Amino acid sequence: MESAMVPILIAIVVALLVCFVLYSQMKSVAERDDAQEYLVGGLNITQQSDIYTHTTKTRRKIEHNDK
Amino acid sequence: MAEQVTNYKCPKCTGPLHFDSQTGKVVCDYCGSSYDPAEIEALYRDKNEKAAEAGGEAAGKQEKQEQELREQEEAGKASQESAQNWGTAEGMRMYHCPSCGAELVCDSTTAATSCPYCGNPTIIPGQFTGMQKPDLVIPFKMEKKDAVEALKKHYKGKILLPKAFSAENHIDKVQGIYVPFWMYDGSASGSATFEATRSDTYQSGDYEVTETKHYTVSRAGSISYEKVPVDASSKMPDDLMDSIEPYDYRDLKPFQTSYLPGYLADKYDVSLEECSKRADRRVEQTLYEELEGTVSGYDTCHRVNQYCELQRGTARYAMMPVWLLSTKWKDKNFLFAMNGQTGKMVGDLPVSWGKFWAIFVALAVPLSILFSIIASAIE
Repeated sequence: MESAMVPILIAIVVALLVCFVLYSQMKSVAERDDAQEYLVGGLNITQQSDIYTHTTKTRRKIEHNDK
Repeated sequence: MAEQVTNYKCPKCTGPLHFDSQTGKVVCDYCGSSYDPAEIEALYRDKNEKAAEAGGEAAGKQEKQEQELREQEEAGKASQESAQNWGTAEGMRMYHCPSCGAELVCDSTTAATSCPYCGNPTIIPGQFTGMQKPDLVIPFKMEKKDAVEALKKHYKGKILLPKAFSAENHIDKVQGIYVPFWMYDGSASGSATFEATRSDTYQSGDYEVTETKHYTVSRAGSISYEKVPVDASSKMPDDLMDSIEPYDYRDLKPFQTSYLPGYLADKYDVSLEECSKRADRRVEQTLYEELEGTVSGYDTCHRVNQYCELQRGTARYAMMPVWLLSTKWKDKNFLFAMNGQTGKMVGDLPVSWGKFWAIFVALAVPLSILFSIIASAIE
């Protein structure tokens, strides 16, 4: 029963996605929050550092399909 | 009342002049003679200065009248008639059209308009004196018909647009307006800290193991910016003006009132300081985005800390060309704007929710059947 629902759910998500793409085409007005076009000469980097802090591990049991 | 407004008239035939966006010249509506804007500006300079002085006097008189009315109202002596006059005077200015003598009632920020009786383009030079004189202007390049055409294109291909909107729709108003903008120069320096990760997945026995390495990434730097525009008119929606950016600054010219005939124009009514907050926000955000752009080689990266210091430079006052188109549908107003230089058209359109859900069902049902067939075939 559950596996039968998966294709339906995927279809609903795909259909909604297409509808929202069409909806977004109707909106062309939004406040700008950047000023990329008005930069002169780009970014001048004065300092940079990449510091390793720690490692985390997650384990997931692999389910074997014995059908 | 002294003459406070100017109609640019053709030096040859005294016909009304308007700025022609196609040729970049000031053209006579009657004899077709064309002039360089600078030439007309020089011809009218003296006249404008005198008009500005007269405008100042008239504004003073008007303020005095308003004060008198206020006093009368406070004393409870104001008659019904004077109360009506006060309603008209509030935030408004009155001028006389030099061509036909009609009374023009304008908003206190209006700088260029046209006489509703004779249709002659009218400039109010007093609005552009001293500190209120714009430094720069981008002249109109697009015509009214371009704006109407661009709106039709804007409707095209919009599947969710209600059919009745484009079919019944007639544009109520199309107006070419010079909108006041502040433009900010300066630089910004700052830093940002990011938490970044790099992951590796491998199999170990019956388990899938994901190993994630965590990093603290710091970047500091600076950017310089030039002419970040912020619209300085409270009447103009900020999001609408942001959306028609960018303008091509190569067409910026020193301001002359002779670019205005034939269009509306407002002077600024939002101060330089007030508008600078919006420019600052945009510049800050850009600095952080630029810093984040240098963080590479990671699977995930998110900003946890940021700092920015702004060094403000020159600010300029400029007039930018905008075509505004408005329409009403189902008692709701729709406002569209076109960049009067580049032709970029923006404006939110109404959505037919009936179409939205019809498309959803039309897609979801066949896709469900198709995916179900594929799933059962795989099993």
